[in-house]
Amino acid sequence: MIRGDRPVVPDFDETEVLYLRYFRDHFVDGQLSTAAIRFPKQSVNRGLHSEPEDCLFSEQGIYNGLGVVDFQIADVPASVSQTQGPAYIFFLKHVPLPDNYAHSEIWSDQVRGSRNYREPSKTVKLEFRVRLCQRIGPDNVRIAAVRNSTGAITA
Amino acid sequence: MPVTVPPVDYRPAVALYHHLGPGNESITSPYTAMLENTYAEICRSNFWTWRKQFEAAQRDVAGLSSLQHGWDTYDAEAPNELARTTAKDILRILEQEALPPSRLLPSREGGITISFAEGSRRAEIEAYNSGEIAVAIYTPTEVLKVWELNAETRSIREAIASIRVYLTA
Repeated sequence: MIRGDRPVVPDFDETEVLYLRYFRDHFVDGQLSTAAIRFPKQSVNRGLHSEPEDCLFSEQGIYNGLGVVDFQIADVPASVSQTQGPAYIFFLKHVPLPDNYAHSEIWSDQVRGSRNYREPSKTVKLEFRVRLCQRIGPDNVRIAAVRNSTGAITA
Repeated sequence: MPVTVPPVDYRPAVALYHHLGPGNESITSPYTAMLENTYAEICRSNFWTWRKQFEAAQRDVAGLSSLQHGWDTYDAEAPNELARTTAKDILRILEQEALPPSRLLPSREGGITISFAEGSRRAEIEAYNSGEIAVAIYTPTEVLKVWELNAETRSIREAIASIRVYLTA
């Protein structure tokens, strides 16, 4: 997972898998809750450079009990339009960290190809989060979580 | 001729059951049986089930005050007092409207997510740390409506009515 001298890889294939940590109570009736997705710049690990287990690696054990779900780049809504105001486009950006080369972020902007970040409105963000969560069900669980978002451990 | 049914107050029976408890030797077994039957009836009642759910939800909101910044391991803000107060207000209205949520969670977005699921019909009310509120109703494959509310009781009540109509349609 150490970055070392490895370069940023800006291109993502539509079929590339992304990994996201989640809590056990993030699943509501068989679907990931919107509570599990955030703005700005939700962090994920790209599958091209990592395995699900890498999401939970910490020498201090801070990720103990969390789980990992996967989804593909194609599952990330490409854009969200609104009746009043501009549409927003969403894209992945590879943002390697010194100890996590696979680290990437979901960015948004109004201009396709700009590679800049612009924060969408609350309703656009919520629609994006709902649409992404619609693509993430129990079949996407790679490592099952046993820890709830409030810290409680559930078997 | 219409028959009027007096309101039933279960509180004495519940209190007695919890006070005496099963297996208490100071009460006769027929009385224990009566208490247990009454308690079982209460447990089957929607009203008391909802009441219990809402009390648990209010406790969950209060418990969120212990979360720290970064609680989610992805640098999320913890739900602040404004979000907690808004969520409590929404829960109070939901209780008045007898619409218990499926789940209440701290949101990585910074606030609190109140989720509803009835089969394939779903809805979310999100109370953010900024004081804003947003609502979404959707199916597993389609987003039907997303809108923002102000924190006025009337506006929240209207949103809850829309959610109820959608979930029970």
